[in-house]
Amino acid sequence: MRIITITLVLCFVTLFLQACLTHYVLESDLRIQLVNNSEYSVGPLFAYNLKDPTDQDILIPVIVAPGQKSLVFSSDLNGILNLGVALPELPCGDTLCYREFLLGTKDLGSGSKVLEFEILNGKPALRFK
Amino acid sequence: MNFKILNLSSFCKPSNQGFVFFIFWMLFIAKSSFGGAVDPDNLLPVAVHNRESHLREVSEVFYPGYNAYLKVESFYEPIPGYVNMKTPYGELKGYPYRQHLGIMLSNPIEKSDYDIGLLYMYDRQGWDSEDFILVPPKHRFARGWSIHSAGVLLSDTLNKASAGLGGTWLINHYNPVHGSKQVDSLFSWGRFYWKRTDLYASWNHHSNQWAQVGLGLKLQARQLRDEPSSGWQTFLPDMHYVWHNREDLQHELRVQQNLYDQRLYLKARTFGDSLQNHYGILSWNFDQAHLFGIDLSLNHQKKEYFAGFSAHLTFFTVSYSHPEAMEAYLPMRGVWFFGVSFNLNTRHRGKDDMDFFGRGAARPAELATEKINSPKKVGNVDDDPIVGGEMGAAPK
Repeated sequence: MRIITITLVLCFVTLFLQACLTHYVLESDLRIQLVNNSEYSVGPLFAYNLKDPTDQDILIPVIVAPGQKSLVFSSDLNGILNLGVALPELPCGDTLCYREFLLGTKDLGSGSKVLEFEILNGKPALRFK
Repeated sequence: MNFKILNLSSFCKPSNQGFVFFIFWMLFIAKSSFGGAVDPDNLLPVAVHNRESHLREVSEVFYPGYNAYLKVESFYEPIPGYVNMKTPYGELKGYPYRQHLGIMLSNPIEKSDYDIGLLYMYDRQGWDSEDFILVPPKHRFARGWSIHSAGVLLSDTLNKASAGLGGTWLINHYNPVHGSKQVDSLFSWGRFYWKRTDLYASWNHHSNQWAQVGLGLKLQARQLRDEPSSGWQTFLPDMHYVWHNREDLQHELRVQQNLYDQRLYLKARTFGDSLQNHYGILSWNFDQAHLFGIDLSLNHQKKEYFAGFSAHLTFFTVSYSHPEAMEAYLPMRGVWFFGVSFNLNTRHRGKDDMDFFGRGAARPAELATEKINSPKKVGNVDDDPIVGGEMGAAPK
């Protein structure tokens, strides 16, 4: 009984004390890198507003060539984001055109993340490496 | 292949029970570790509530004769990502927080029956990307505000009357681009207390109109207020009516009824308007000074009923879907709240003694004090076997 009581008290103390100190050990920002596994150039990668997709917050502000990877960019957005990606040199007819794809929500969490871009069954997709 | 079967019976032997309990506790936390996401605009009524609660709290902790009050509270969610924040771009991970400080000090004026007191109450609240002790990180999407209340109180201990004047300042800390409609405002308030009646009003200087008017009838007899400690008068209800100058909420009624021994209480609150928010709390206090307690609550919100729970352990508070935590901290149901919370009220008793009790208590804490009486007849020191006798003699 005494052990249970002591453990209970320790659990409480741990829970209460960690609550204002976790930022010393846990990361709250997101550092993100994009790897392009498709045959088209990709970029930029952005988070968009569900109500208005033209309202965007850019996470990776560069264009990544096929088979290449981007630099690491830091963002203060973390968590579950509505991600979209632009394909700036997509063949349409005889020319190349710029198109944006909204890829839905993805839980990016926080810390260092590497995202791979690929085209699966003719649809652009992002996945964690 | 050899499969090693986990021997649960040896794992659960008595010496491991604490560890097993710890594991279950952690599983329990992990299972319920996704509270959901809060819409920042839903946080706005919390600011209004907390500003009003400063005034309501004064009427509980400042009574003619009470001389000090200290309240320290700090609430965080212990796990990052437990309560996310809705932004246009998605749900961001972070922490909702609330830090609260209340100080009241009152001193008798010499050669009179009057006490003069000073009051300061502080609230800092919102949502931010990191937890912190003193300095918030102020993320781009962070929301937050602070509320300062300060006042001067004068009380007449002989006639059990008091009056107070003060101001409340609401300051927003957020990036205006992502901010909401809440505006910085200055309020002034005044309050008057006589015997068991409490009246207060506050004026909003930003919109130049009344912010609220409150009327409290503290009919319940309390020993701490030099009223009977038992009998039918202790079973009278405490009622509190507040008129708010708000569109969504105008009439608010709070009732507190003693059910048993001024330890078991039934508290209820109802809003008369469109919010349709009513709750009842059954509150059991283990001690008579209300320093330890357990609450069970039933909340009726948006035509749905849900139950809640809270435990107050002098320095810590844990609650789940508890309406008082929801209205003061985070308006989300199905969420655990953890916090450091401590409050203590004191009162002079006689010349040298002091009573200690929690907020709203009817009787003081029973402290294990012992009066040491000096012996009437002091004998010769040399007769004392310890001091002057053989046992106490220095070795030669």
